[in-house]
This record gives sequence, C-alpha cells and structure tokens, in this order.
Amino acid sequence: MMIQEVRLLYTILVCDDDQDIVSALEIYLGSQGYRTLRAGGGAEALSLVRQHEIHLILMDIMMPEMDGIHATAKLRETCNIPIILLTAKSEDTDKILGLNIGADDYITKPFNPVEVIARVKSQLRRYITLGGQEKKEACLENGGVVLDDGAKEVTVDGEPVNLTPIEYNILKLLMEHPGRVYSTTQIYEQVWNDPAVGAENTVAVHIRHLREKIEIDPASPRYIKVVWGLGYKMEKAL
Amino acid sequence: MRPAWNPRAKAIGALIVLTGLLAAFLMLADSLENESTAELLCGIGVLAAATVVWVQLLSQAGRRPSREGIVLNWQDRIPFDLYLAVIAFPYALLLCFAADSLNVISYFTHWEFTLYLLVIYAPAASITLALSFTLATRIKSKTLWSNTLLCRLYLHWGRIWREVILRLPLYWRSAVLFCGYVMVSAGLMSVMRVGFLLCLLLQVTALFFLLRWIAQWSVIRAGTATILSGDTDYHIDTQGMLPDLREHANQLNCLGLAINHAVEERYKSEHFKAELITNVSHDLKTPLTSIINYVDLLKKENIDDETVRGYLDVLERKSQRLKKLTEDLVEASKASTGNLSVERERLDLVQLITQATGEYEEKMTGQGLSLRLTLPTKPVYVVADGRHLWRILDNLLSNCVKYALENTRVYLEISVFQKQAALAVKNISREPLNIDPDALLERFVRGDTSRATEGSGLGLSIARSLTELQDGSFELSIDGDLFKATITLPMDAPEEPEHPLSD
Repeated sequence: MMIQEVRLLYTILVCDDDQDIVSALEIYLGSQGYRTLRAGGGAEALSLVRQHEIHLILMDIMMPEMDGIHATAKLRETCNIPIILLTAKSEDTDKILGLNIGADDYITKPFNPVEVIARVKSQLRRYITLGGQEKKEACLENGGVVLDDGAKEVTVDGEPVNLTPIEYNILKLLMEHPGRVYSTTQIYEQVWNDPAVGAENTVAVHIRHLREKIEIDPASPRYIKVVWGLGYKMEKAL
Repeated sequence: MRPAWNPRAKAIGALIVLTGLLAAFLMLADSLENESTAELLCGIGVLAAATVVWVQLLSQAGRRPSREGIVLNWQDRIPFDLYLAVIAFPYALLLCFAADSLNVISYFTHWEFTLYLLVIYAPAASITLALSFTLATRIKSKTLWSNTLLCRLYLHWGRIWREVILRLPLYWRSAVLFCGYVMVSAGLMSVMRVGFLLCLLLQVTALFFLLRWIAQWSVIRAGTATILSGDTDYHIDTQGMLPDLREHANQLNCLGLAINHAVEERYKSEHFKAELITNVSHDLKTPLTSIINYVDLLKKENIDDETVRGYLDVLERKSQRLKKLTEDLVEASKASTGNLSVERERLDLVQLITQATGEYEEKMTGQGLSLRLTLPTKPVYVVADGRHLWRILDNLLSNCVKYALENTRVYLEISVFQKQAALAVKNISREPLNIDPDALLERFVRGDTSRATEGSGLGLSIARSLTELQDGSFELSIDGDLFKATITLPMDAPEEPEHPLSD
C-alpha cells in the first residue's frame, strides 16, 4: 500500500500518563501507518523530541512530572512541531490557555478515534505538505481552507471537498471577509440574488451541510462559526 | 484639745440650752409687752448664757470620750437634703405657730401657755438644736456635701443614666422627656419680663437636638439602603451618635456582617460543590476514554458470533451514554451555581430560531416531525449570551426529537408583549406525561419513569438555569400530552438592523 509506506515516514509522539489510552492511540495511529513513540510525562516527551525526529505530538494536559501546558511552552522555545492537546478538562479557559501557549489543536476526552485521526492528518498536511506552498492568484485562503475561484475548487488541508454551487457561493461570500458576521437574510440576498422573504431557514440548512463537509467536528467548528442570534462568519485564521 | 464630754453631760447641756432659750424667749417676749428694761436685760443675759453653753455643745458635737476623731450618730448618717426635706415642713409649721403666738401670748391662761410651751416651743427649739448639732458634726467630718442625695446623684450620674434612664422603654422615656419639656417651658414662660426670651432659647435648643437626631437617623437609613443594595461590608459610622440610634446602627452593622458571612459561606459551599463535580467528572473521563476506545477496537476485530456483537453494541451505547452524562453533569453544576461566564450582547431572537431550526431540520424530518414557525417579521432584539441561548434551544429541540410523538407537528413561536420576548416550544409527547411540570424541572427527572430512553434528565434543568442566568424566566406547562416550554427574556430597544452590504 503506497499511502501507508509514505506515512511510515511520520513519527508521532503520544504523551499521556494513562498507559491504556496510549496503547489504544498507538493501535489507531499504527493502523493508519504512522510510527509512534510513547512518553509517560512532559519531561520524557522533551527528551524524546531531542533524540528523535518527530512530526507531531499528542499531549495530555494533566500529567505528573511536568504537565502538558508546561511541556508545550518548553517545546515552543525551540521547535514548531504540531502539538495537539488531549484533555479531560472541557472548560473554555483551559482550551484558550492551551492554544495561546502554542498548541495547534485540542481534543477533549473522551475522544472519538476517528476525530483524533482526522485532526492528526489535518495538522500533518499543513505542517509538511502545505508548509512551503506558494499562494496562487485568485485564491481565497483562510487557515487550511483554500478556495480557488478560477478552478471553482475548494480544498481543506490539501484535500478536495465537493460542494454544491450554493454551498460554494456561501463559502466564497464568507471567505471574502473573514471575521465579518453575515445574517441569514444578508446571505440569502447575496447568494440567491433575491429578496429574502421567510426563506432564511434554507440558509441555515445549507450552512449546516457546508460545515459537515469542511469541519472535522461540525458541532465545534474551526472555520465556519455560528454566531447565535446574529449570523455566521468565517473565523480569521491566526 | 479638751477632753470630750460624756453623753450625760451633753444631755444636761442640751437641756440647759433648751430651758435657757425658752426662758430667754419668754423674758424677751414679756419685756416687749411690758416695755420693762430689767426683763429685757435679764432675757439677754439668759440668752447669752444659753448661747455660750450651745457653742460649747457645738464644739463637742461628734466627739466621744474614748474615741478619736469625729463619730457620726444615726441622724448624721441620713443624707442631709433628705433630712432637711423631712423636717422642713413640720419645722416651718412650728415656727409659724411660734411667731403667730407672740401676738396673743398675753391673753393665754396659765394652762394654755404651758400647753403651748410643750407643744410648739419645745419641739421647735429641739429641732433647731438637733439641726445645729448635726450641721456642726457634718461640717467637722466634712460630710455636709458628700452625704446628700444630690451628691450621690451627681457622682453616679453616668451609671444612673446608663442603668436606669436608658433601661426605660423608649416610649416611656419620650413621654417623660416631653412632660419635662412642657413643664420647663411653662415654668420659663411664667418668669417675669425675660420669660419669652428664655422660652425661645429653649425652643431653639429643642430644635437643635431634634435636627441632630433626624440627621443621625438619616445616616442610618442611608446605611441600611447601602447594605440592602448588596454592599454587606458597609459599616455605618456610629461616632458621636445618640445612644438609642447608636444601638440601632450597631445592630444594622452586625446584620450586615451576618449577611456577608452567610453569603460567603453559601458561595464557598456552592463553589466547593461545583469544584467537586468538575473534578469527579474529570476523573471519570479518563477511564471512560479507554472503555470507549477499546470497545471500538473490539468491534473492529472479526467477531462472527452474533451474541458477542450484540453485547458489544450494548457496551458502546452505554459508554456513549455515560460520556453524555458526565458532560451534562458538569454543565448542570456550572449553570446552577452561576459558575459560567455570560457574555451579553444584543442579538436577534428570530435569527437565532432560524439558525437553530436549520440545525435540527434533518433530525426532525427523520422522526417524521414537522416544524411550524410563528415568527414576527421584524427582528426581536434581546440582550443575552448567544451560546447559552443556543444551548437552551438545543436542549428543548433535542427533547422534541427524543420524546415527541412521530408524525406530529412541533410549534415554535415568538411573541412580544410589554418589553418581554417569549419563545415557546410546543410538542405532543409520545408517552403520557403523568408528572408535575415542576418535578420535570428537577435534576435527573424524566418524563418516562422507566428511564429507557437516552438522555440524562438534566436538559430542562440546564435550560432553566441558563435562562435564569440571563435574567430570563423559564416555564413549563403540561396539558394532557401537550408539552410546552416558554422562555421569557427582557427585550432590548428596537432598532433597525444594520445592512452593511445593502449599499
């Protein structure tokens, strides 16, 4: 299998004090063809990063001997390997702290294995495949989402996504002004070119489909955010 | 110093003085009547002799033969002002009779005269003597001032004020004070010429005290309002307050402290509870992660046995349920303790409903449910936290999906009245709802007593807590199989929505 051979080049460090969780993750990652290393704590992770070539780190937050937040901060002093935090803490403040300290993504426990794999792939593609890619003309780009208006193509983290014309137009509208909130009425008027009379519900359904195609976890989207009671927006990438 | 006389000598001396004085008095009275110089001289002589003995007796007053210093007898120990008050009336009466008798003395018969002598003159002179003795003793022993009720009153004024006057009930004190005030002002008015001025001065003084009392009372009232408004740390300054008001202010200060203490305790305990639930659920999540993952791995093994596959399905379903429960538990605890940040912003309820129904469209049609929306044409602006409001709607709509009867309609309505926006969700329950709406709002209570369906029984409780967190109210009503939840939120001022793209 070609893809698996290529993936064997990538080494993922799994760092958690619960050995059963590490073993399960190793099975899932191994089945996708990734090589894994295990660490029981932050300090061990730091020394492993110095000894081996590692492409991604899955890091638990609550660990004895240097927690995940400290280890992430230490790692960020010297390298920019993608770090995904695994955490039982679901408070917003913990997530924000983790991301601000230098982590690239987070997954809350108990996690869905499919989601872990999807996030790992996404981070690796952006770190390795797309790292040095040049920006094309007539392309709208935000984080991992690239919309090529010439070819009418949309890719997320390098993988093409199939969108209907309406979904494509909605995405284009949102990507033209990242961070700006559009109400359903505004989206309807812009995309359908008709005055919106009670048809806003359609917009909401289309956006939901769009989220399901672009986001790893549509319930907590990274790109197309729902601003409840106001509208929708494309989150500005950091 | 000469030796002290014994009591018998003193008694004889007193008798001599008494007789001398009486004799001198009679002689002098007689001499005035008869204009006889001899009798006058004789009377003066007797009076002088009696006075000499009297002075001797006075110098002996308070002295005893075998004792050093001044010894007080029983009458010397009576407070002097009390003593005077007791003898004042009979003494004055006796003196009046004595003076009066001078005019008629010449007409008296012998017996009448003797009677007069015994009844009027003798007691009057005796009292005079006794008074002079006790006065001398008191002066010598320096107890003339100190052994009076007035002096005691003066010395113990502070204690009397505290223990007697202040212990009187306030209304008695006020009544006494008012009576005193009326009496004093009446007394002052009766003073000739300056009475009016004095009275005016009294009124000004009374007004001053009244204003002072009112000013201090105002301070207390303002302090009470401050404590009531939530600043339980506030301390009313009792410096210089009148005693009754100070007591009142101190009580209020204590009350403030007590409230503060109670609130702190409550906050601590709620906080501790929330912390406990969060920590426990964190600890539950770690083993749960392994369970979910290994069940998933087991399912991927090639197992042909149908029974084993069935068991695995149960394991998977239940572990997912456990996951949802721990998440809901943390959320319910945070919402009910107010341990959640609320980011209020102006948002459109109609827009929110549109978005929410967009999210639920497929799930609803999947259950054969059709949504009926009754929305105003204009935006309805409320000030709320969009994420929390979505969570409330999410819970209500997912309840519809879980518990509504298949192939029925679900109604969503927004109505506006008196600056309140009400959002109602109505659906027909699949199971009969033989339960009180209030009980349904309790945590862990579900419409189906068998608890067979998925769900934690926390959804409505979370929805209510979140609504209350945003100053709204959450109501449930059950009418047969009709289930209706109403969220009422205060509205924001209506304003035309912005149209940044319309130009």
